Amino acid sequence: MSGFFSGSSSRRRYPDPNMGGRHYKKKGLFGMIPGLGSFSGSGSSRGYGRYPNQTGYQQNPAAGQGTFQPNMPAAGQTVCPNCGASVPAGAKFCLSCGEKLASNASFCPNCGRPLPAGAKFCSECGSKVQ
Amino acid sequence: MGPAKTIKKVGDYTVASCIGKGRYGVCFLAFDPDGNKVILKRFRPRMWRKNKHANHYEAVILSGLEHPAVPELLGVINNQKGYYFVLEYKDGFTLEQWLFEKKKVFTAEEIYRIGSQIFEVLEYLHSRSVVHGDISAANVTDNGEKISLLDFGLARYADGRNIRFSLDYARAANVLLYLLYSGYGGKGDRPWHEELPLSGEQKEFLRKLMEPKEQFADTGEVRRLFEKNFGRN
Repeated sequence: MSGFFSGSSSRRRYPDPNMGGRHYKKKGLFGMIPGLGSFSGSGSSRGYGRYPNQTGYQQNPAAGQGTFQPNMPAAGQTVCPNCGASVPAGAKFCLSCGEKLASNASFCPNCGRPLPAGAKFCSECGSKVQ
Repeated sequence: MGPAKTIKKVGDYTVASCIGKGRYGVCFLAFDPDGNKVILKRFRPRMWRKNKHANHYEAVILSGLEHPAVPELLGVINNQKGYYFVLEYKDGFTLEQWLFEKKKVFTAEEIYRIGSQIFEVLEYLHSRSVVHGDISAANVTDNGEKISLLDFGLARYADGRNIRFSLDYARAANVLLYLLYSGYGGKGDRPWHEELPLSGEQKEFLRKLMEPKEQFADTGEVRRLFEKNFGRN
């Protein structure tokens, strides 16, 4: 799990249980940690450069785009048939090229977590998958 | 006649206006080729790179959800204009807009309806192991009949340690307090449990919601207790 949602940052996201009207009658304190990931609140409008294609997603060199990384998918990931990028289990679109991947959007009927392609059991709760 | 206004296209979508900005990017109202409203959520390249190991959660989690109060993920666009999620449009104003732009005073009945609907969607999310993680007045829209829950950028699967359902309970309680304070005209220098005219049961329920460790068997119990404590007797 990313440190982005680490124990300490998670704890800071709990509201102070003793705040009063001075807090609740004012706008702008919704995030409690300003700017931590939320689209809410204000933000700078600077820095919208060209988005580098496929940053962070493994690419198949054959797809001919972006900065390439090894094209072997990580555990639980599948390969996009359109661009060759690795796609995390559960995502119904390729996060690199946007190709619709309905068959990848498979989730455990019991606990709701994503299932890798071909899984017979949920690795989280152990439920049998049809 | 003046020059024609430039129409911005992103993929097959026609951008109408910018409706929100945040640290992670910008949200645009846009139209699909059939004229349906959608939201284009454009990510700031720097933030996308910074959180490259966590960016997939929102897309994966939304792919596994199907609920009228949760925007559907309709597509992903990655082109020279940017990196976007295409999301279902949900109508209504955010509770933040209702409170601070429209200065709306929420009645007990409205707070009951909104609270019930928030806990109902949380019951669904938690049954799918999803913690929203960012429940706030800015991330809940209301059209007067139905609420929707927006921005799954911080949503994660519960692990029972750092990522707990209690975070959603606590933040939902905070939203309820904003609504309860909408009609408050006092000084505001004391804690909510001293200032607001709430029953002992209501205070106890809200206090428990704000605890970092879950004080309830499950989210169904939370919803039932909310309805018992805040409904008409």
